[in-house]
Amino acid sequence: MFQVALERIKNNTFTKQDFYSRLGVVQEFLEQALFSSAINTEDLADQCADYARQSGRIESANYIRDWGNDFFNIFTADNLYEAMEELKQEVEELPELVLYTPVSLENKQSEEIGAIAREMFDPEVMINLSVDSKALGGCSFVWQGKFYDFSFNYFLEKNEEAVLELINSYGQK
Amino acid sequence: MEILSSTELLIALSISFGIVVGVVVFSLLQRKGKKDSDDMSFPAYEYAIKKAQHTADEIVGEARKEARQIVAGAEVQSRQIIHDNSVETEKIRTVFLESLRSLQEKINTEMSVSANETYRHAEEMARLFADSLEIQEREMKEKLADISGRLQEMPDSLAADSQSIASELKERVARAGEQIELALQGIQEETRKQISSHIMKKFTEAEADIAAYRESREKLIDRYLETLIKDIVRLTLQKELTSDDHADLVRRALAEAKESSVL
Repeated sequence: MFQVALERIKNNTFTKQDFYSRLGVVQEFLEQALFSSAINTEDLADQCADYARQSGRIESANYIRDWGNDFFNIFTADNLYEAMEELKQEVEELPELVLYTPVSLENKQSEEIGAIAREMFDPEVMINLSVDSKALGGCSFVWQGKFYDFSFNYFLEKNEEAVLELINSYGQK
Repeated sequence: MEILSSTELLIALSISFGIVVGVVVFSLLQRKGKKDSDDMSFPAYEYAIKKAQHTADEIVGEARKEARQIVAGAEVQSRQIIHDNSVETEKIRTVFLESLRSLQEKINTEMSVSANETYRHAEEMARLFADSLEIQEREMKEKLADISGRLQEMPDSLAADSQSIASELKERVARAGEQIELALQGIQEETRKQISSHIMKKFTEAEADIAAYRESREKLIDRYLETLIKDIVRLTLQKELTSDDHADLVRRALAEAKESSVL
Protein backbone atom coordinates (compact mmCIF):
# COMPACT_ATOMS: atom_id res chain seq x y z
CA MET A 1 0.00 0.00 0.00
CA PHE A 2 2.82 2.34 0.76
CA GLN A 3 5.17 0.99 -1.91
CA VAL A 4 5.43 4.37 -3.58
CA ALA A 5 6.59 5.97 -0.36
CA LEU A 6 9.06 3.17 0.24
CA GLU A 7 10.49 3.47 -3.26
CA ARG A 8 10.90 7.19 -2.77
CA ILE A 9 12.77 6.63 0.47
CA LYS A 10 14.97 3.89 -1.01
CA ASN A 11 16.03 6.17 -3.84
CA ASN A 12 18.28 8.21 -1.62
CA THR A 13 18.45 6.18 1.59
CA PHE A 14 20.90 3.31 1.71
CA THR A 15 21.33 2.52 5.35
CA LYS A 16 18.82 1.44 7.97
CA GLN A 17 20.19 4.04 10.36
CA ASP A 18 19.38 6.81 7.90
CA PHE A 19 16.01 5.29 7.16
CA TYR A 20 14.90 5.25 10.79
CA SER A 21 16.35 8.70 11.47
CA ARG A 22 14.63 10.32 8.47
CA LEU A 23 11.37 8.51 8.99
CA GLY A 24 11.43 9.68 12.62
CA VAL A 25 11.70 13.30 11.48
CA VAL A 26 8.86 12.80 9.02
CA GLN A 27 6.61 11.23 11.66
CA GLU A 28 7.26 14.04 14.16
CA PHE A 29 6.60 16.62 11.48
CA LEU A 30 3.43 14.94 10.21
CA GLU A 31 2.05 14.58 13.75
CA GLN A 32 2.18 18.34 14.00
CA ALA A 33 0.92 18.91 10.47
CA LEU A 34 -1.96 16.47 10.61
CA PHE A 35 -3.08 16.81 14.21
CA SER A 36 -2.78 20.52 14.74
CA SER A 37 -3.58 23.57 12.68
CA ALA A 38 -0.15 25.12 13.28
CA ILE A 39 1.18 23.89 9.95
CA ASN A 40 -0.54 24.33 6.62
CA THR A 41 -0.64 21.31 4.35
CA GLU A 42 1.02 23.02 1.41
CA ASP A 43 4.70 22.36 0.49
CA LEU A 44 5.06 19.76 3.18
CA ALA A 45 8.42 18.56 1.83
CA ASP A 46 9.99 21.98 2.26
CA GLN A 47 8.36 22.48 5.61
CA CYS A 48 9.57 19.10 6.81
CA ALA A 49 13.09 19.92 5.65
CA ASP A 50 12.89 23.17 7.59
CA TYR A 51 11.62 21.26 10.62
CA ALA A 52 14.58 18.89 10.36
CA ARG A 53 17.02 21.79 10.23
CA GLN A 54 15.36 23.53 13.14
CA SER A 55 15.35 20.40 15.24
CA GLY A 56 19.09 19.91 14.67
CA ARG A 57 18.89 17.07 12.12
CA ILE A 58 20.37 19.08 9.29
CA GLU A 59 21.88 16.07 7.53
CA SER A 60 18.39 14.62 6.95
CA ALA A 61 16.80 17.82 5.62
CA ASN A 62 17.85 17.69 1.97
CA TYR A 63 17.13 14.00 1.60
CA ILE A 64 13.62 14.43 3.02
CA ARG A 65 12.91 17.40 0.74
CA ASP A 66 13.89 15.26 -2.24
CA TRP A 67 11.07 12.86 -1.39
CA GLY A 68 8.66 15.54 -2.69
CA ASN A 69 5.21 16.78 -1.69
CA ASP A 70 3.42 13.80 -3.22
CA PHE A 71 5.30 11.59 -0.76
CA PHE A 72 3.87 13.56 2.15
CA ASN A 73 0.38 13.59 0.65
CA ILE A 74 0.19 9.81 1.03
CA PHE A 75 -0.13 10.23 4.77
CA THR A 76 -3.34 11.25 6.54
CA ALA A 77 -4.29 11.55 10.18
CA ASP A 78 -6.00 8.17 9.84
CA ASN A 79 -3.16 6.18 8.29
CA LEU A 80 -0.06 7.87 9.69
CA TYR A 81 0.88 5.32 12.35
CA GLU A 82 -0.23 2.39 10.25
CA ALA A 83 1.88 3.71 7.37
CA MET A 84 4.93 4.21 9.57
CA GLU A 85 4.69 0.69 10.92
CA GLU A 86 4.22 -0.75 7.48
CA LEU A 87 7.21 1.14 6.09
CA LYS A 88 9.40 -0.09 8.92
CA GLN A 89 8.20 -3.61 8.36
CA GLU A 90 8.86 -3.37 4.63
CA VAL A 91 12.38 -2.12 5.22
CA GLU A 92 13.08 -4.96 7.64
CA GLU A 93 12.05 -7.41 4.97
CA LEU A 94 14.49 -6.00 2.41
CA PRO A 95 17.83 -7.83 1.89
CA GLU A 96 20.26 -6.65 4.54
CA LEU A 97 23.99 -6.12 4.31
CA VAL A 98 25.65 -5.73 7.71
CA LEU A 99 28.66 -3.60 6.94
CA TYR A 100 31.48 -3.05 9.46
CA THR A 101 33.61 0.02 8.82
CA PRO A 102 36.51 1.30 10.94
CA VAL A 103 34.93 4.75 11.33
CA SER A 104 31.41 6.08 10.99
CA LEU A 105 30.65 7.26 7.49
CA GLU A 106 29.21 10.58 6.45
CA ASN A 107 25.96 10.74 4.47
CA LYS A 108 27.67 11.25 1.14
CA GLN A 109 30.06 8.38 1.73
CA SER A 110 27.35 5.99 2.84
CA GLU A 111 25.32 7.03 -0.17
CA GLU A 112 28.21 6.12 -2.50
CA ILE A 113 28.93 2.88 -0.74
CA GLY A 114 25.22 2.06 -0.67
CA ALA A 115 25.04 2.52 -4.42
CA ILE A 116 27.98 0.16 -4.88
CA ALA A 117 26.35 -2.36 -2.57
CA ARG A 118 23.08 -2.26 -4.51
CA GLU A 119 24.98 -2.81 -7.70
CA MET A 120 27.07 -5.55 -6.22
CA PHE A 121 24.76 -7.47 -3.90
CA ASP A 122 21.14 -6.66 -4.60
CA PRO A 123 19.29 -3.64 -6.03
CA GLU A 124 17.01 -3.69 -2.99
CA VAL A 125 19.71 -4.03 -0.35
CA MET A 126 19.69 -1.91 2.79
CA ILE A 127 22.91 -1.51 4.70
CA ASN A 128 23.05 -1.97 8.44
CA LEU A 129 26.15 0.02 9.35
CA SER A 130 28.35 -0.76 12.33
CA VAL A 131 31.67 0.66 13.41
CA ASP A 132 34.37 -1.93 14.14
CA SER A 133 38.01 -0.97 14.53
CA LYS A 134 39.05 -4.46 13.42
CA ALA A 135 37.78 -3.62 9.94
CA LEU A 136 40.60 -1.12 9.54
CA GLY A 137 42.13 -0.80 6.08
CA GLY A 138 38.91 -1.88 4.32
CA CYS A 139 35.74 -3.33 5.70
CA SER A 140 34.07 -6.54 6.70
CA PHE A 141 30.49 -7.55 6.18
CA VAL A 142 27.84 -10.16 6.72
CA TRP A 143 25.87 -11.16 3.66
CA GLN A 144 23.21 -13.83 3.74
CA GLY A 145 24.40 -15.05 7.15
CA LYS A 146 28.08 -15.36 6.19
CA PHE A 147 30.92 -13.19 7.45
CA TYR A 148 33.48 -11.79 5.02
CA ASP A 149 36.64 -10.02 6.11
CA PHE A 150 38.13 -7.59 3.63
CA SER A 151 40.02 -5.54 6.14
CA PHE A 152 43.76 -4.94 6.24
CA ASN A 153 44.21 -8.47 7.57
CA TYR A 154 42.78 -9.88 4.37
CA PHE A 155 45.09 -7.81 2.20
CA LEU A 156 48.09 -8.71 4.29
CA GLU A 157 47.30 -12.41 4.10
CA LYS A 158 46.71 -12.09 0.39
CA ASN A 159 50.14 -10.54 -0.07
CA GLU A 160 51.82 -12.53 2.67
CA GLU A 161 54.50 -14.04 0.48
CA ALA A 162 55.43 -10.71 -1.03
CA VAL A 163 55.55 -9.12 2.40
CA LEU A 164 57.71 -11.90 3.82
CA GLU A 165 59.98 -11.72 0.82
CA LEU A 166 60.31 -8.01 1.39
CA ILE A 167 61.11 -8.61 5.05
CA ASN A 168 63.67 -11.29 4.22
CA SER A 169 65.32 -9.17 1.55
CA TYR A 170 65.46 -6.33 4.04
CA GLY A 171 67.03 -8.65 6.60
CA GLN A 172 69.72 -9.71 4.12
CA LYS A 173 70.79 -6.16 3.37
CA MET B 1 23.84 17.84 185.65
CA GLU B 2 24.46 15.88 188.71
CA ILE B 3 21.35 13.99 187.80
CA LEU B 4 23.27 12.27 184.98
CA SER B 5 24.66 9.06 186.32
CA SER B 6 27.79 7.39 185.15
CA THR B 7 25.67 4.83 183.34
CA GLU B 8 24.01 7.53 181.39
CA LEU B 9 27.42 8.95 180.60
CA LEU B 10 28.61 5.58 179.52
CA ILE B 11 25.58 5.18 177.30
CA ALA B 12 26.17 8.59 175.81
CA LEU B 13 29.81 7.81 175.19
CA SER B 14 28.84 4.46 173.64
CA ILE B 15 26.34 6.18 171.42
CA SER B 16 28.93 8.75 170.39
CA PHE B 17 31.44 6.03 169.68
CA GLY B 18 28.85 4.15 167.76
CA ILE B 19 28.09 7.19 165.70
CA VAL B 20 31.77 7.75 164.97
CA VAL B 21 32.24 4.10 164.00
CA GLY B 22 29.11 4.34 161.88
CA VAL B 23 30.40 7.42 160.10
CA VAL B 24 33.76 5.76 159.44
CA VAL B 25 32.06 2.57 158.13
CA PHE B 26 29.74 4.61 156.00
CA SER B 27 32.56 6.58 154.53
CA LEU B 28 34.50 3.37 153.74
CA LEU B 29 31.44 1.81 152.15
CA GLN B 30 30.89 4.94 150.12
CA ARG B 31 34.45 4.87 148.82
CA LYS B 32 34.17 1.22 147.83
CA GLY B 33 30.81 1.91 146.19
CA LYS B 34 32.38 4.68 144.13
CA LYS B 35 35.14 2.36 142.84
CA ASP B 36 32.59 -0.29 141.81
CA SER B 37 30.56 2.40 140.15
CA ASP B 38 33.65 3.53 138.16
CA ASP B 39 34.22 -0.05 137.10
CA MET B 40 30.63 -0.39 136.05
CA SER B 41 30.71 2.84 134.00
CA PHE B 42 33.50 1.46 131.48
CA PRO B 43 31.81 1.52 128.01
CA ALA B 44 30.40 -1.81 126.91
CA TYR B 45 31.62 -1.62 123.32
CA GLU B 46 35.20 -1.04 124.34
CA TYR B 47 34.93 -4.10 126.39
CA ALA B 48 33.46 -6.01 123.49
CA ILE B 49 36.23 -4.80 121.15
CA LYS B 50 38.87 -5.78 123.59
CA LYS B 51 37.30 -9.13 123.98
CA ALA B 52 37.02 -9.60 120.22
CA GLN B 53 40.61 -8.48 119.79
CA HIS B 54 41.65 -10.96 122.34
CA THR B 55 39.65 -13.73 120.63
CA ALA B 56 41.06 -12.74 117.26
CA ASP B 57 44.60 -12.80 118.59
CA GLU B 58 43.95 -16.19 119.98
CA ILE B 59 42.54 -17.43 116.64
CA VAL B 60 45.47 -15.95 114.68
CA GLY B 61 47.90 -17.48 117.06
CA GLU B 62 46.13 -20.81 116.72
CA ALA B 63 46.11 -20.50 112.92
CA ARG B 64 49.81 -19.68 112.81
CA LYS B 65 50.50 -22.61 114.97
CA GLU B 66 48.47 -24.90 112.69
CA ALA B 67 50.06 -23.45 109.56
CA ARG B 68 53.51 -24.07 111.01
CA GLN B 69 52.46 -27.59 111.74
CA ILE B 70 51.10 -28.10 108.20
CA VAL B 71 54.26 -26.66 106.60
CA ALA B 72 56.43 -28.76 108.80
CA GLY B 73 54.32 -31.82 107.95
CA ALA B 74 54.50 -31.11 104.21
CA GLU B 75 58.23 -30.64 104.40
CA VAL B 76 58.64 -33.91 106.19
CA GLN B 77 56.32 -35.61 103.70
CA SER B 78 58.13 -34.18 100.66
CA ARG B 79 61.44 -35.27 102.09
CA GLN B 80 59.96 -38.68 102.57
CA ILE B 81 58.64 -38.77 98.97
CA ILE B 82 62.00 -37.66 97.57
CA HIS B 83 63.70 -40.23 99.66
CA ASP B 84 61.23 -42.88 98.55
CA ASN B 85 61.71 -41.90 94.87
CA SER B 86 65.47 -42.01 95.22
CA VAL B 87 65.22 -45.43 96.77
CA GLU B 88 62.85 -46.59 94.04
CA THR B 89 65.10 -45.16 91.31
CA GLU B 90 68.12 -46.77 92.84
CA LYS B 91 66.23 -50.02 93.04
CA ILE B 92 65.24 -49.81 89.34
CA ARG B 93 68.78 -48.87 88.42
CA THR B 94 70.13 -51.83 90.35
CA VAL B 95 67.64 -54.17 88.68
CA PHE B 96 68.46 -52.76 85.26
CA LEU B 97 72.21 -53.05 85.83
CA GLU B 98 71.72 -56.53 87.12
CA SER B 99 69.69 -57.46 84.01
CA LEU B 100 72.29 -55.85 81.77
CA ARG B 101 75.10 -57.65 83.51
CA SER B 102 73.20 -60.90 83.25
CA LEU B 103 72.51 -60.34 79.55
CA GLN B 104 76.15 -59.44 78.94
CA GLU B 105 77.28 -62.61 80.69
CA LYS B 106 74.79 -64.64 78.71
CA ILE B 107 76.01 -63.13 75.45
CA ASN B 108 79.63 -63.69 76.46
CA THR B 109 78.86 -67.28 77.32
CA GLU B 110 76.98 -67.82 74.05
CA MET B 111 79.75 -66.20 72.07
CA SER B 112 82.36 -68.21 73.85
CA VAL B 113 80.46 -71.42 73.17
CA SER B 114 79.91 -70.44 69.57
CA ALA B 115 83.58 -69.46 69.15
CA ASN B 116 84.71 -72.74 70.66
CA GLU B 117 82.35 -74.61 68.37
CA THR B 118 83.58 -72.69 65.33
CA TYR B 119 87.17 -73.20 66.34
CA ARG B 120 86.55 -76.89 66.76
CA HIS B 121 84.93 -77.08 63.34
CA ALA B 122 87.77 -75.14 61.80
CA GLU B 123 90.28 -77.47 63.40
CA GLU B 124 88.36 -80.44 62.13
CA MET B 125 88.23 -78.97 58.62
CA ALA B 126 91.94 -78.15 58.68
CA ARG B 127 92.71 -81.64 59.80
CA LEU B 128 90.55 -83.19 57.08
CA PHE B 129 92.09 -80.90 54.45
CA ALA B 130 95.59 -81.78 55.58
CA ASP B 131 94.73 -85.49 55.42
CA SER B 132 93.27 -85.06 51.96
CA LEU B 133 96.36 -83.19 50.77
CA GLU B 134 98.59 -85.84 52.19
CA ILE B 135 96.60 -88.56 50.41
CA GLN B 136 96.67 -86.65 47.11
CA GLU B 137 100.37 -85.95 47.39
CA ARG B 138 101.00 -89.57 48.04
CA GLU B 139 98.86 -90.60 45.05
CA MET B 140 100.57 -88.06 42.81
CA LYS B 141 103.97 -89.26 43.85
CA GLU B 142 102.92 -92.78 43.09
CA LYS B 143 101.55 -91.75 39.66
CA LEU B 144 104.66 -89.73 38.82
CA ALA B 145 106.82 -92.63 39.78
CA ASP B 146 104.71 -94.81 37.55
CA ILE B 147 104.87 -92.40 34.62
CA SER B 148 108.61 -91.98 35.09
CA GLY B 149 109.03 -95.67 35.00
CA ARG B 150 106.88 -95.98 31.88
CA LEU B 151 108.76 -93.20 30.14
CA GLN B 152 112.00 -94.86 30.81
CA GLU B 153 110.55 -97.96 29.26
CA MET B 154 109.22 -96.00 26.13
CA PRO B 155 111.03 -96.69 22.81
CA ASP B 156 112.68 -93.95 20.71
CA SER B 157 109.98 -94.12 17.94
CA LEU B 158 107.41 -92.90 20.35
CA ALA B 159 109.59 -89.96 21.16
CA ALA B 160 109.78 -89.09 17.47
CA ASP B 161 106.02 -89.38 17.14
CA SER B 162 105.46 -87.12 20.03
CA GLN B 163 107.82 -84.56 18.45
CA SER B 164 105.85 -84.62 15.16
CA ILE B 165 102.59 -84.30 17.08
CA ALA B 166 104.04 -81.34 18.89
CA SER B 167 105.08 -79.62 15.66
CA GLU B 168 101.68 -80.30 14.11
CA LEU B 169 100.01 -78.85 17.12
CA LYS B 170 102.20 -75.79 16.81
CA GLU B 171 101.18 -75.33 13.20
CA ARG B 172 97.54 -75.74 14.02
CA VAL B 173 97.83 -73.19 16.75
CA ALA B 174 99.55 -70.80 14.34
CA ARG B 175 96.76 -71.27 11.77
CA ALA B 176 94.08 -70.80 14.37
CA GLY B 177 95.85 -67.62 15.47
CA GLU B 178 95.83 -66.32 11.90
CA GLN B 179 92.18 -67.18 11.49
CA ILE B 180 91.35 -65.46 14.76
CA GLU B 181 93.31 -62.42 13.66
CA LEU B 182 91.45 -62.33 10.35
CA ALA B 183 88.11 -62.73 12.12
CA LEU B 184 89.02 -59.96 14.50
CA GLN B 185 89.97 -57.70 11.60
CA GLY B 186 86.62 -58.49 9.99
CA ILE B 187 84.80 -57.70 13.18
CA GLN B 188 86.73 -54.45 13.52
CA GLU B 189 85.85 -53.49 9.98
CA GLU B 190 82.20 -54.37 10.51
CA THR B 191 82.11 -52.44 13.77
CA ARG B 192 83.72 -49.45 12.12
CA LYS B 193 81.12 -49.59 9.36
CA GLN B 194 78.31 -49.87 11.87
CA ILE B 195 79.61 -46.95 13.91
CA SER B 196 80.05 -44.87 10.81
CA SER B 197 76.53 -45.73 9.66
CA HIS B 198 75.12 -44.95 13.09
CA ILE B 199 76.90 -41.60 13.20
CA MET B 200 75.66 -40.76 9.71
CA LYS B 201 72.12 -41.69 10.69
CA LYS B 202 72.26 -39.58 13.82
CA PHE B 203 73.82 -36.73 11.88
CA THR B 204 71.03 -36.89 9.28
CA GLU B 205 68.42 -36.94 12.05
CA ALA B 206 70.07 -33.99 13.76
CA GLU B 207 70.15 -32.12 10.46
CA ALA B 208 66.45 -32.83 9.94
CA ASP B 209 65.70 -31.70 13.51
CA ILE B 210 67.69 -28.52 13.02
CA ALA B 211 65.93 -27.84 9.73
CA ALA B 212 62.51 -28.41 11.36
CA TYR B 213 63.47 -26.22 14.29
CA ARG B 214 64.74 -23.51 11.98
CA GLU B 215 61.58 -23.67 9.92
CA SER B 216 59.37 -23.43 13.00
CA ARG B 217 61.43 -20.53 14.34
CA GLU B 218 61.28 -18.79 10.99
CA LYS B 219 57.53 -19.24 10.91
CA LEU B 220 57.32 -17.89 14.40
CA ILE B 221 59.40 -14.88 13.45
CA ASP B 222 57.28 -14.41 10.33
CA ARG B 223 54.10 -14.47 12.48
CA TYR B 224 55.68 -12.04 14.87
CA LEU B 225 56.69 -9.73 12.05
CA GLU B 226 53.23 -10.01 10.57
CA THR B 227 51.68 -9.03 13.87
CA LEU B 228 54.16 -6.22 14.21
CA ILE B 229 53.38 -4.94 10.74
CA LYS B 230 49.66 -5.23 11.40
CA ASP B 231 49.99 -3.24 14.59
CA ILE B 232 52.14 -0.60 12.94
CA VAL B 233 49.81 -0.27 9.95
CA ARG B 234 46.72 -0.27 12.16
CA LEU B 235 48.19 2.44 14.31
CA THR B 236 49.20 4.47 11.27
CA LEU B 237 45.86 4.00 9.54
CA GLN B 238 43.94 4.95 12.66
CA LYS B 239 45.95 8.06 13.23
CA GLU B 240 46.67 9.28 9.73
CA LEU B 241 43.68 8.44 7.51
CA THR B 242 40.82 10.85 7.01
CA SER B 243 37.19 9.85 6.83
CA ASP B 244 37.34 10.04 3.03
CA ASP B 245 40.39 7.77 3.00
CA HIS B 246 38.53 5.21 5.09
CA ALA B 247 35.49 5.45 2.81
CA ASP B 248 37.76 4.95 -0.17
CA LEU B 249 39.28 1.85 1.46
CA VAL B 250 35.78 0.50 2.11
CA ARG B 251 34.94 0.98 -1.57
CA ARG B 252 38.14 -0.77 -2.59
CA ALA B 253 37.43 -3.60 -0.17
CA LEU B 254 33.98 -4.06 -1.68
CA ALA B 255 35.49 -4.03 -5.17
CA GLU B 256 37.99 -6.64 -4.02
CA ALA B 257 35.15 -8.72 -2.62
CA LYS B 258 33.41 -8.54 -5.98
CA GLU B 259 36.58 -9.49 -7.87
CA SER B 260 37.54 -12.29 -5.54
CA SER B 261 34.26 -14.05 -6.39
CA VAL B 262 33.83 -15.30 -2.86
CA LEU B 263 30.26 -14.09 -2.79
